Amino acid sequence: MKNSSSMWQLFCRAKAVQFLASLKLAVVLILSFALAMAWGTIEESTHNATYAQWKIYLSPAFIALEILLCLNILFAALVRFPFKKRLIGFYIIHLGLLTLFAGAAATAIWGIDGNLRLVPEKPSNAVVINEPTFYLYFYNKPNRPPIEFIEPLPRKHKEFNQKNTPFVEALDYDVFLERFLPFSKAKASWVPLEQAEQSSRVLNISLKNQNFGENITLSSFDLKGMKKQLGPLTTLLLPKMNSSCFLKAVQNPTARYVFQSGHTCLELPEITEKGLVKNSWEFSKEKNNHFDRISVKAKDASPTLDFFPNLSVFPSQNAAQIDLNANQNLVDLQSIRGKPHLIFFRDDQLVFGKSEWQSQELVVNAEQNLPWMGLSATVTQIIDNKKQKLDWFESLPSPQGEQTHFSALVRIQNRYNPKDTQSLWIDDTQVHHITTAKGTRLELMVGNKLHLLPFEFSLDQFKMATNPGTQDPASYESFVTTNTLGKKESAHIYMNNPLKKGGFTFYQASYFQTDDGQFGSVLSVNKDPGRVTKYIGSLLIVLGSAIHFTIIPKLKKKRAMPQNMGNATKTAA
Amino acid sequence: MKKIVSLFFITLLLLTQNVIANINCPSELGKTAIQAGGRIKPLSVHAKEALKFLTGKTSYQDLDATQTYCQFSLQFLLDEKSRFELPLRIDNIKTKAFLGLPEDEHSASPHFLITRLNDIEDYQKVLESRNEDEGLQTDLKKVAQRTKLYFEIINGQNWKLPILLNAGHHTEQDSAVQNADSSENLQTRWITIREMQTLFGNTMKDSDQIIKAVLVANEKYTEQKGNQHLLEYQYDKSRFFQWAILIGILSLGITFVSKKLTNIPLVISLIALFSLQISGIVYRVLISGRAPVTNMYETVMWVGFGGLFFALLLALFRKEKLFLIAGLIMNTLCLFMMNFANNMLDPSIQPLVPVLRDNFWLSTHVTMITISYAALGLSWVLANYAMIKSLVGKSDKQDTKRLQTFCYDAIKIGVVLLAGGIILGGVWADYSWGRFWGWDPKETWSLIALMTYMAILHGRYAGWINTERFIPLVALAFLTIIMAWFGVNYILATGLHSYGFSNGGAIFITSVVATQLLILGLFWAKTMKKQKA
Repeated sequence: MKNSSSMWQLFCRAKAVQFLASLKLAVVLILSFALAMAWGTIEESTHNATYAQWKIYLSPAFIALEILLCLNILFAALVRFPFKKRLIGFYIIHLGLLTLFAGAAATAIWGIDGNLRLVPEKPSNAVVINEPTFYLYFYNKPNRPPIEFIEPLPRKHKEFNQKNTPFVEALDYDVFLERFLPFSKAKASWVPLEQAEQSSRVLNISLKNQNFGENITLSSFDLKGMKKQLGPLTTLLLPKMNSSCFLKAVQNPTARYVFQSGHTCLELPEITEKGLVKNSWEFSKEKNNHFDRISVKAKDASPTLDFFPNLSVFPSQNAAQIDLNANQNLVDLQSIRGKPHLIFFRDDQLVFGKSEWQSQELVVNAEQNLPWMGLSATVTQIIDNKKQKLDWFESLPSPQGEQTHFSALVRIQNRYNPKDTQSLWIDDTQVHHITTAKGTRLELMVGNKLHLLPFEFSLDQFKMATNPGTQDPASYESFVTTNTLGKKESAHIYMNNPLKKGGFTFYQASYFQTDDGQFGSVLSVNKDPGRVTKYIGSLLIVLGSAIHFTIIPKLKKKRAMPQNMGNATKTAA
Repeated sequence: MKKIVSLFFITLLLLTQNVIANINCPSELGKTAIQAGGRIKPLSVHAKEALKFLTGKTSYQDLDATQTYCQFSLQFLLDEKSRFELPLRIDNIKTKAFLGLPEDEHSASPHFLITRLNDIEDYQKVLESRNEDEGLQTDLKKVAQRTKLYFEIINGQNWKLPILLNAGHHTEQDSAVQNADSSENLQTRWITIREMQTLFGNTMKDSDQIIKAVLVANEKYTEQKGNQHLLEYQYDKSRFFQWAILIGILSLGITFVSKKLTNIPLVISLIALFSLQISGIVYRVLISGRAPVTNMYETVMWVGFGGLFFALLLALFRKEKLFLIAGLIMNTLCLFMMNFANNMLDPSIQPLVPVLRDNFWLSTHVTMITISYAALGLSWVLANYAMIKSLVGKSDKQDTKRLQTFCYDAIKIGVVLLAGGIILGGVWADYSWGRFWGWDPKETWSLIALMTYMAILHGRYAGWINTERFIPLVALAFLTIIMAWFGVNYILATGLHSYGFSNGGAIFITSVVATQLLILGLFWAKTMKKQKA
């Protein structure tokens, strides 16, 4: 007994222990902790929350600081043993703090915190977690599922040469990740099109009035490049067509027109039955994924054109494809009317209009005045038959600026023939498809980590109630159905009323409106194995402080008030 | 040319002054119920808020807000010639430049603004899509809102009065309204005076008939549904917090001269001060049905009251009037902010944003956090009192030591409450956002403040911080509370706690910090001088 107590004294007197237990270390650590947090909030307001989290709160240095603080709390309590009655509050506070930190560590290591985005009629079980991840799929043999490699990525800019493909005999290629940029923007350069590709056009347009100036680039590669928004003004680059016919169509809200690239423009008859023949045209109509699909064929056996007349004035196979999964399709005649539009056609025409429309010839570097906010438009450059190559560079996010993306530079190398190597940038906006010289198909992407739930959610309805007589939201509510292996259950999730299921908790976090006007809901998904521990820690802290500041002073009054709690160590010794 | 134009406007103004008040609006209209901004209010309060938003003032010419609102709401009855217009406020220089108005013009005609409304809204959307100039965006939005509100008012579409319907007559709209607010009864239907005039077209041709109908409708409504809205009318008319400033300053004076805490004039003035503020707070709680801590105005009110409350407790416990002086100074500071900083603190009562709709957590977490600010604020006032006293050379060592103990007393209360409040916040966040702690700026800054006080307390135990250092450090530490309380909303302006955010506080924070640093600097210089000597 005596032996063990002198061992304890030896331990307490050890220099390292004295240092770790010292009040001065505590003051330094607490102040550093406070300063680091203040820095974090400044990073958040100049960049964004994710950036601040990754740079400060989740950084190794900050975690090391937290561990040191824990050690300090632990040792400060240890050296004040054996037990003294007047320190009871102090013991409880320190135990509570350690418990709280332990709970927080459990949450950080084993917890899940992500978002589930739900759109009506699209069930999902994929929880998006804000951790960068590299995805790689090898389609090695036709008709076989791909070989997949999924790797976590660091939360900061990193240069490395990491092979992401273990040696599998069937694979001829190695994929190296060379650089990862968690916050980056793309810079485009122009390279000539390869022969097999379709012809293309890119327009650089300068829009300005006395209050502002803006440069816009429109390109014909995809739907995204063909449409740019400047506040309420929509700018479009559309295929070659008869613009006077287009004018007729937008000015006449009841008639429906069909356009073909080139100069075909014909008023669409009301088709009620399959295979209507009118003049030299054959029409047929079918329902396709909620949209009317109209096929038009000239009698002289030219190729069939497919239209989705409510969505677009263009045939779907031509230049810009109609993507039924896209949030918004290119031109919706219904939405065009009444909103300012600046439309460029491939046959060198530009049309501007809101309620009235006017057509002009497109001339490079000639200023055109638009009848909207005193705006003038100048086409500064036309780039034909070149495609954009994106190079990514590091760019920190800012609350004002455009969104940043994950990007990574990868190298795909033939194991047996080093000459067969290609390097490319991948990013989080799309899946990149690569076919190697030997015909192996690869899919690559950098993106957020996905956690797949063992059950599926579908959104039946998102409801936003407003305060009476106003448009201000009063509550957000999601009516969902969960599907666990065919077993369906309904649930109602709203603010301060989460759903608990399968160890996860689902909260109403946010909502969004898709471009076709539907409301989608964002649920925050949480699994927190440290919850109970944290609650116990919190209780201990509150209890301890109450004891420390109320009961102890009464005890102290009876004795002489010690000036310096640091002396307690010496007394113990 | 300019001169002629302005002459023309001046004559026009003179003319309109004569024409106004051509409708007889009785003052009892102020007590009638109106549905506005998602709530049921007395007309007087809505009129005041609307007029303040439109013009920046609460009266117009020699009319009070209710009369002005009534005059303008019934304009649609008059023929074109006898109508008059209310110039609408424009603050931002860039907005003026965009509209082509001279810089020294502080208002514009609504009939001019309506012609530019599309441009204003389009320009704001362009700025929004380019993430540019948020200040101008906010002002453009406000100008557009003012213009729309003005025309809503003069077309008789803003004044919504209650009509009682038989229970069988609901439409879908009614049930939507009912869902949104359960206190709303199905039988009440709110219609605008314009709708009412259309419904009863023949019998309501002039303003007197309409006003009479409004009064009758209101009488029926209060018979059936009670007159809860009159509480807000009384609250508005009583001006509790304006009277409290006077009594506060008076109490402060009495405390300074009186030697005992039981001095009769002091007791009376304190009772008056407490009653005024408690009445104000109780009225707000009864009107809104929730804890009085849902926006900056209410937290300042609550912290000011809490500071005085703690000060009185400590003063009685320690038998020491210094606490009371500090408490009264803090209370008066808060009252000044409530009455004179309306650009920063909005005194109107508004419906809660969805995330706060939980009375239990609102009453515990937010109340606890703000009450901890009150206790810590008390230590701050005491510390500054000590420093200023030593600067003007009226303090000895004994005195400073006493004040230090008092600061310590206040900090002990404040730190426990702050820690408890942060933890409760964590529990609420866990319950409604799904995480205990998420490094949101508001929660992070409250933790920074707690850490700062913890560092001071531990430094004091370690013997690093003696009396001379303790006092300036306590004053300095409160700047972290200012940051957590105001700075996150007005300077950092990001994060999940964005429901409390508003404009115009940056200047306030800068001046508080600058004053504090000045006092600290002077105190430090004096201490250094003393040490050298």
